[in-house]
Amino acid sequence: MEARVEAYLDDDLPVEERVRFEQILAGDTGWEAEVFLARQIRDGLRALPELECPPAVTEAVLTRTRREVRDSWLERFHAWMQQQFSALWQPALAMTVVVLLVVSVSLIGRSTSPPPPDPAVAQALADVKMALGYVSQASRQTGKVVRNDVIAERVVGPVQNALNARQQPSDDTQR
Amino acid sequence: MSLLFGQAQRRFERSVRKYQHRIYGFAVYFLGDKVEAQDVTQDVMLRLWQHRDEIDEERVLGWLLRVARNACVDALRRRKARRNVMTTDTDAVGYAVGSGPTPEACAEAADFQGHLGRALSRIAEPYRSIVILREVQELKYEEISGAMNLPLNTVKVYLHRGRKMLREQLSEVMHRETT
Repeated sequence: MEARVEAYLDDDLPVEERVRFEQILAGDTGWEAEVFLARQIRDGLRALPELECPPAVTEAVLTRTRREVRDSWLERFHAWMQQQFSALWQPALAMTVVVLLVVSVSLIGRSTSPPPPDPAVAQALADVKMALGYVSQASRQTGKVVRNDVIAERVVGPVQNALNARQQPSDDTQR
Repeated sequence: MSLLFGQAQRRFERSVRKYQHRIYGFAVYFLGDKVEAQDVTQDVMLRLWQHRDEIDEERVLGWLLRVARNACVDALRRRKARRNVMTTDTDAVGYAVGSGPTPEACAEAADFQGHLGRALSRIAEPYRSIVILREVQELKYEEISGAMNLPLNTVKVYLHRGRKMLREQLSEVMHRETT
Protein backbone atom coordinates (compact mmCIF):
# COMPACT_ATOMS: atom_id res chain seq x y z
CA MET A 1 0.00 0.00 0.00
CA GLU A 2 2.84 2.36 0.88
CA ALA A 3 4.53 1.89 -2.48
CA ARG A 4 1.23 2.74 -4.09
CA VAL A 5 1.16 6.16 -2.38
CA GLU A 6 4.17 7.29 -4.33
CA ALA A 7 3.15 5.54 -7.53
CA TYR A 8 -0.18 7.28 -7.20
CA LEU A 9 1.47 10.67 -6.77
CA ASP A 10 3.91 10.02 -9.60
CA ASP A 11 0.96 9.01 -11.76
CA ASP A 12 2.54 5.63 -12.35
CA LEU A 13 -0.50 3.49 -11.45
CA PRO A 14 -2.55 1.86 -14.19
CA VAL A 15 -6.05 3.33 -14.51
CA GLU A 16 -7.85 0.40 -12.86
CA GLU A 17 -5.47 0.33 -9.94
CA ARG A 18 -5.68 4.08 -9.58
CA VAL A 19 -9.47 3.95 -9.32
CA ARG A 20 -9.25 1.17 -6.76
CA PHE A 21 -6.66 3.14 -4.76
CA GLU A 22 -8.84 6.24 -4.74
CA GLN A 23 -11.75 4.15 -3.45
CA ILE A 24 -9.57 2.94 -0.60
CA LEU A 25 -8.50 6.52 0.17
CA ALA A 26 -12.09 7.68 0.27
CA GLY A 27 -12.88 5.15 2.99
CA ASP A 28 -9.66 5.43 5.00
CA THR A 29 -8.75 8.77 6.57
CA GLY A 30 -5.37 7.44 7.70
CA TRP A 31 -4.19 6.69 4.15
CA GLU A 32 -5.84 9.85 2.93
CA ALA A 33 -3.75 11.86 5.38
CA GLU A 34 -0.65 9.92 4.30
CA VAL A 35 -1.24 10.81 0.65
CA PHE A 36 -1.95 14.42 1.57
CA LEU A 37 1.32 14.66 3.48
CA ALA A 38 3.26 12.94 0.70
CA ARG A 39 1.85 15.39 -1.81
CA GLN A 40 2.63 18.31 0.49
CA ILE A 41 6.23 17.12 0.81
CA ARG A 42 6.63 16.62 -2.91
CA ASP A 43 5.17 20.03 -3.69
CA GLY A 44 7.21 21.63 -0.91
CA LEU A 45 10.44 20.17 -2.22
CA ARG A 46 9.65 21.16 -5.78
CA ALA A 47 8.83 24.67 -4.61
CA LEU A 48 12.31 25.12 -3.20
CA PRO A 49 13.97 27.85 -5.23
CA GLU A 50 16.72 27.14 -7.73
CA LEU A 51 19.59 28.81 -5.96
CA GLU A 52 22.14 30.85 -7.85
CA CYS A 53 25.79 30.36 -7.13
CA PRO A 54 27.32 33.72 -6.07
CA PRO A 55 29.45 35.13 -8.91
CA ALA A 56 32.41 35.53 -6.54
CA VAL A 57 32.65 31.74 -6.20
CA THR A 58 32.79 31.20 -9.94
CA GLU A 59 35.18 34.08 -10.46
CA ALA A 60 37.52 32.74 -7.79
CA VAL A 61 37.61 29.38 -9.57
CA LEU A 62 38.13 30.88 -13.01
CA THR A 63 40.78 33.32 -11.80
CA ARG A 64 42.71 30.54 -10.17
CA THR A 65 42.55 28.23 -13.17
CA ARG A 66 43.49 31.03 -15.58
CA ARG A 67 46.48 31.89 -13.41
CA GLU A 68 47.46 28.24 -13.43
CA VAL A 69 47.27 28.20 -17.23
CA ARG A 70 49.37 31.36 -17.49
CA ASP A 71 51.96 30.01 -15.01
CA SER A 72 52.15 26.77 -16.88
CA TRP A 73 52.74 28.69 -20.12
CA LEU A 74 55.54 30.65 -18.47
CA GLU A 75 57.05 27.45 -17.11
CA ARG A 76 56.92 25.84 -20.51
CA PHE A 77 58.45 28.91 -22.16
CA HIS A 78 61.19 28.97 -19.54
CA ALA A 79 61.89 25.28 -20.07
CA TRP A 80 61.93 25.80 -23.82
CA MET A 81 64.36 28.70 -23.45
CA GLN A 82 66.63 26.63 -21.24
CA GLN A 83 66.56 23.80 -23.73
CA GLN A 84 67.35 26.13 -26.60
CA PHE A 85 70.11 27.84 -24.66
CA SER A 86 71.73 24.57 -23.61
CA ALA A 87 71.71 23.45 -27.25
CA LEU A 88 73.11 26.72 -28.58
CA TRP A 89 75.55 28.00 -26.00
CA GLN A 90 78.60 26.06 -27.24
CA PRO A 91 78.31 27.11 -30.90
CA ALA A 92 77.52 30.65 -29.78
CA LEU A 93 80.61 30.74 -27.58
CA ALA A 94 82.81 29.39 -30.38
CA MET A 95 81.44 31.97 -32.79
CA THR A 96 82.11 34.78 -30.31
CA VAL A 97 85.71 33.65 -29.82
CA VAL A 98 86.29 33.54 -33.58
CA VAL A 99 84.80 37.01 -34.04
CA LEU A 100 86.95 38.40 -31.23
CA LEU A 101 90.08 36.84 -32.73
CA VAL A 102 89.35 38.26 -36.16
CA VAL A 103 88.70 41.71 -34.75
CA SER A 104 91.83 41.73 -32.61
CA VAL A 105 94.06 40.45 -35.43
CA SER A 106 92.73 43.08 -37.79
CA LEU A 107 93.39 45.76 -35.17
CA ILE A 108 96.92 44.54 -34.49
CA GLY A 109 97.69 44.30 -38.23
CA ARG A 110 96.56 47.87 -38.74
CA SER A 111 98.77 49.23 -35.94
CA THR A 112 101.93 47.44 -37.26
CA SER A 113 101.58 48.56 -40.91
CA PRO A 114 104.68 50.56 -42.16
CA PRO A 115 104.51 54.34 -42.22
CA PRO A 116 104.43 56.05 -45.62
CA PRO A 117 107.95 56.27 -47.10
CA ASP A 118 110.00 59.43 -46.82
CA PRO A 119 109.96 61.31 -50.21
CA ALA A 120 113.73 61.79 -50.12
CA VAL A 121 114.33 58.06 -49.56
CA ALA A 122 111.89 57.25 -52.34
CA GLN A 123 113.74 59.64 -54.59
CA ALA A 124 117.10 58.04 -53.67
CA LEU A 125 115.74 54.55 -54.40
CA ALA A 126 114.45 55.79 -57.77
CA ASP A 127 117.90 57.23 -58.50
CA VAL A 128 119.56 53.91 -57.61
CA LYS A 129 117.13 52.03 -59.86
CA MET A 130 117.83 54.51 -62.67
CA ALA A 131 121.60 54.18 -62.20
CA LEU A 132 121.48 50.41 -62.08
CA GLY A 133 119.25 50.38 -65.17
CA TYR A 134 121.70 52.65 -66.96
CA VAL A 135 124.65 50.45 -65.96
CA SER A 136 122.77 47.34 -67.04
CA GLN A 137 121.89 48.84 -70.44
CA ALA A 138 125.45 50.08 -71.00
CA SER A 139 126.75 46.61 -70.18
CA ARG A 140 124.41 45.02 -72.72
CA GLN A 141 125.39 47.50 -75.46
CA THR A 142 129.15 47.40 -74.88
CA GLY A 143 129.43 43.76 -73.84
CA LYS A 144 131.46 44.88 -70.84
CA VAL A 145 130.66 44.09 -67.22
CA VAL A 146 130.82 46.71 -64.52
CA ARG A 147 132.60 45.34 -61.53
CA ASN A 148 130.78 45.02 -58.23
CA ASP A 149 133.31 47.04 -56.30
CA VAL A 150 132.86 49.90 -58.86
CA ILE A 151 129.08 49.73 -58.39
CA ALA A 152 129.55 49.63 -54.63
CA GLU A 153 131.89 52.61 -54.74
CA ARG A 154 130.11 54.75 -57.36
CA VAL A 155 126.46 53.92 -56.88
CA VAL A 156 125.66 52.16 -53.60
CA GLY A 157 128.22 54.06 -51.53
CA PRO A 158 126.97 57.62 -52.35
CA VAL A 159 123.33 56.53 -51.88
CA GLN A 160 124.20 54.89 -48.59
CA ASN A 161 126.03 58.02 -47.49
CA ALA A 162 123.10 60.20 -48.51
CA LEU A 163 120.69 58.01 -46.57
CA ASN A 164 122.92 58.00 -43.54
CA ALA A 165 123.29 61.75 -43.73
CA ARG A 166 119.48 62.08 -43.91
CA GLN A 167 118.96 59.76 -40.95
CA GLN A 168 121.60 61.55 -38.84
CA PRO A 169 119.64 64.77 -38.11
CA SER A 170 116.46 62.83 -37.16
CA ASP A 171 118.46 60.70 -34.65
CA ASP A 172 119.91 63.94 -33.22
CA THR A 173 116.47 65.42 -32.81
CA GLN A 174 115.20 62.21 -31.11
CA ARG A 175 118.06 62.45 -28.67
CA MET B 1 49.27 21.97 -28.45
CA SER B 2 48.40 25.50 -27.39
CA LEU B 3 45.14 25.18 -29.31
CA LEU B 4 44.24 22.01 -27.41
CA PHE B 5 45.14 23.67 -24.15
CA GLY B 6 42.93 26.66 -24.91
CA GLN B 7 40.09 24.36 -25.91
CA ALA B 8 40.31 22.45 -22.64
CA GLN B 9 40.15 25.71 -20.72
CA ARG B 10 37.16 26.95 -22.71
CA ARG B 11 35.38 23.62 -22.20
CA PHE B 12 36.07 23.82 -18.48
CA GLU B 13 34.71 27.37 -18.23
CA ARG B 14 31.62 26.32 -20.17
CA SER B 15 31.01 23.46 -17.72
CA VAL B 16 31.51 25.76 -14.74
CA ARG B 17 28.98 28.27 -16.04
CA LYS B 18 26.52 25.54 -16.96
CA TYR B 19 26.56 23.52 -13.74
CA GLN B 20 27.61 25.98 -11.02
CA HIS B 21 24.05 26.70 -9.85
CA ARG B 22 23.07 23.03 -9.77
CA ILE B 23 26.10 22.09 -7.69
CA TYR B 24 25.66 25.05 -5.40
CA GLY B 25 21.93 24.33 -4.96
CA PHE B 26 22.63 20.69 -4.17
CA ALA B 27 25.24 21.66 -1.60
CA VAL B 28 22.99 24.26 0.04
CA TYR B 29 20.07 21.86 0.42
CA PHE B 30 22.37 19.07 1.53
CA LEU B 31 24.32 21.08 4.09
CA GLY B 32 21.75 23.72 5.01
CA ASP B 33 24.52 26.30 5.02
CA LYS B 34 25.29 28.71 2.20
CA VAL B 35 28.85 29.51 3.20
CA GLU B 36 29.83 25.85 3.43
CA ALA B 37 28.02 25.27 0.14
CA GLN B 38 30.15 27.96 -1.51
CA ASP B 39 33.31 26.26 -0.30
CA VAL B 40 32.07 22.92 -1.57
CA THR B 41 31.16 24.37 -4.97
CA GLN B 42 34.56 25.97 -5.33
CA ASP B 43 36.29 22.79 -4.27
CA VAL B 44 34.26 20.68 -6.70
CA MET B 45 34.97 23.00 -9.62
CA LEU B 46 38.68 23.01 -8.90
CA ARG B 47 38.65 19.23 -8.82
CA LEU B 48 36.93 19.27 -12.19
CA TRP B 49 39.80 21.43 -13.43
CA GLN B 50 42.34 18.96 -12.10
CA HIS B 51 40.58 16.03 -13.81
CA ARG B 52 39.50 17.89 -16.95
CA ASP B 53 41.35 15.52 -19.26
CA GLU B 54 39.73 12.42 -17.81
CA ILE B 55 36.06 13.36 -17.99
CA ASP B 56 33.87 13.26 -21.10
CA GLU B 57 31.65 16.26 -21.62
CA GLU B 58 28.48 14.12 -21.43
CA ARG B 59 29.48 12.69 -18.07
CA VAL B 60 30.44 15.97 -16.43
CA LEU B 61 27.19 16.50 -14.51
CA GLY B 62 27.18 13.00 -13.02
CA TRP B 63 30.82 13.37 -12.06
CA LEU B 64 30.25 16.79 -10.51
CA LEU B 65 27.27 15.61 -8.47
CA ARG B 66 29.17 12.59 -7.21
CA VAL B 67 32.13 14.72 -6.16
CA ALA B 68 29.79 17.33 -4.67
CA ARG B 69 28.01 14.69 -2.63
CA ASN B 70 31.32 13.32 -1.31
CA ALA B 71 32.49 16.84 -0.51
CA CYS B 72 29.23 17.52 1.34
CA VAL B 73 29.58 14.32 3.34
CA ASP B 74 33.12 15.35 4.26
CA ALA B 75 31.92 18.83 5.22
CA LEU B 76 29.24 17.32 7.46
CA ARG B 77 31.81 15.08 9.07
CA ARG B 78 34.04 18.07 9.76
CA ARG B 79 31.10 20.01 11.12
CA LYS B 80 30.15 17.13 13.39
CA ALA B 81 33.71 16.93 14.61
CA ARG B 82 33.59 20.66 15.36
CA ARG B 83 30.29 20.78 17.11
CA ASN B 84 29.87 17.19 18.10
CA VAL B 85 26.15 17.67 17.64
CA MET B 86 24.91 18.64 14.22
CA THR B 87 22.51 21.53 14.07
CA THR B 88 21.22 23.00 10.87
CA ASP B 89 20.40 26.60 10.46
CA THR B 90 17.47 26.34 8.08
CA ASP B 91 16.94 30.11 8.20
CA ALA B 92 20.28 30.61 6.53
CA VAL B 93 19.14 28.49 3.60
CA GLY B 94 16.07 30.56 2.95
CA TYR B 95 13.58 27.86 2.07
CA ALA B 96 10.96 29.10 -0.32
CA VAL B 97 7.72 30.44 0.96
CA GLY B 98 4.74 29.01 -0.85
CA SER B 99 2.51 31.48 -2.62
CA GLY B 100 -0.64 31.10 -0.55
CA PRO B 101 -3.51 33.41 -1.17
CA THR B 102 -3.71 34.73 2.41
CA PRO B 103 -1.07 35.76 4.95
CA GLU B 104 -2.15 32.87 7.16
CA ALA B 105 -1.65 30.44 4.31
CA CYS B 106 1.72 32.02 3.57
CA ALA B 107 2.79 31.70 7.18
CA GLU B 108 1.59 28.12 7.27
CA ALA B 109 3.46 27.29 4.07
CA ALA B 110 6.61 28.97 5.38
CA ASP B 111 6.25 26.97 8.54
CA PHE B 112 5.91 23.77 6.56
CA GLN B 113 8.93 24.63 4.40
CA GLY B 114 10.94 25.20 7.55
CA HIS B 115 9.92 21.79 8.91
CA LEU B 116 10.65 20.24 5.56
CA GLY B 117 14.14 21.74 5.43
CA ARG B 118 14.93 20.49 8.91
CA ALA B 119 13.50 17.05 8.15
CA LEU B 120 15.57 16.90 4.96
CA SER B 121 18.74 17.70 6.85
CA ARG B 122 17.99 14.91 9.32
CA ILE B 123 17.54 12.01 6.96
CA ALA B 124 20.60 9.86 6.45
CA GLU B 125 22.73 9.30 3.38
CA PRO B 126 22.32 8.26 0.63
CA TYR B 127 18.58 8.93 0.97
CA ARG B 128 19.09 12.67 1.42
CA SER B 129 21.15 13.04 -1.76
CA ILE B 130 18.67 11.01 -3.77
CA VAL B 131 15.66 12.97 -2.48
CA ILE B 132 17.40 16.27 -3.29
CA LEU B 133 18.47 15.14 -6.75
CA ARG B 134 15.05 13.74 -7.60
CA GLU B 135 12.62 16.08 -5.86
CA VAL B 136 14.50 19.38 -5.73
CA GLN B 137 16.69 19.17 -8.81
CA GLU B 138 14.24 16.96 -10.72
CA LEU B 139 16.91 14.74 -12.24
CA LYS B 140 15.96 11.55 -14.09
CA TYR B 141 16.46 8.21 -12.37
CA GLU B 142 19.21 7.39 -14.88
CA GLU B 143 21.05 10.62 -14.09
CA ILE B 144 20.81 9.96 -10.36
CA SER B 145 22.00 6.42 -10.92
CA GLY B 146 25.05 7.75 -12.78
CA ALA B 147 25.76 10.46 -10.24
CA MET B 148 25.42 8.18 -7.24
CA ASN B 149 27.06 5.20 -8.92
CA LEU B 150 24.10 3.02 -7.92
CA PRO B 151 21.92 0.65 -9.96
CA LEU B 152 18.65 2.13 -11.19
CA ASN B 153 16.47 -0.09 -9.01
CA THR B 154 18.48 0.77 -5.94
CA VAL B 155 17.93 4.45 -6.67
CA LYS B 156 14.18 3.85 -6.80
CA VAL B 157 14.21 1.87 -3.56
CA TYR B 158 16.31 4.50 -1.80
CA LEU B 159 14.08 7.28 -3.06
CA HIS B 160 11.08 5.46 -1.69
CA ARG B 161 12.79 5.06 1.67
CA GLY B 162 13.89 8.67 1.71
CA ARG B 163 10.40 9.93 1.02
CA LYS B 164 9.05 7.66 3.73
CA MET B 165 11.60 8.98 6.21
CA LEU B 166 10.58 12.52 5.38
CA ARG B 167 6.91 11.68 5.87
CA GLU B 168 7.63 10.05 9.20
CA GLN B 169 9.67 12.98 10.41
CA LEU B 170 7.12 15.53 9.32
CA SER B 171 4.07 13.67 10.57
CA GLU B 172 5.82 13.38 13.92
CA VAL B 173 6.55 17.11 14.00
CA MET B 174 3.05 18.03 12.92
CA HIS B 175 1.52 15.63 15.39
CA ARG B 176 3.60 17.25 18.12
CA GLU B 177 2.47 20.69 17.03
CA THR B 178 -1.23 19.81 16.98
CA THR B 179 -1.06 18.22 20.41
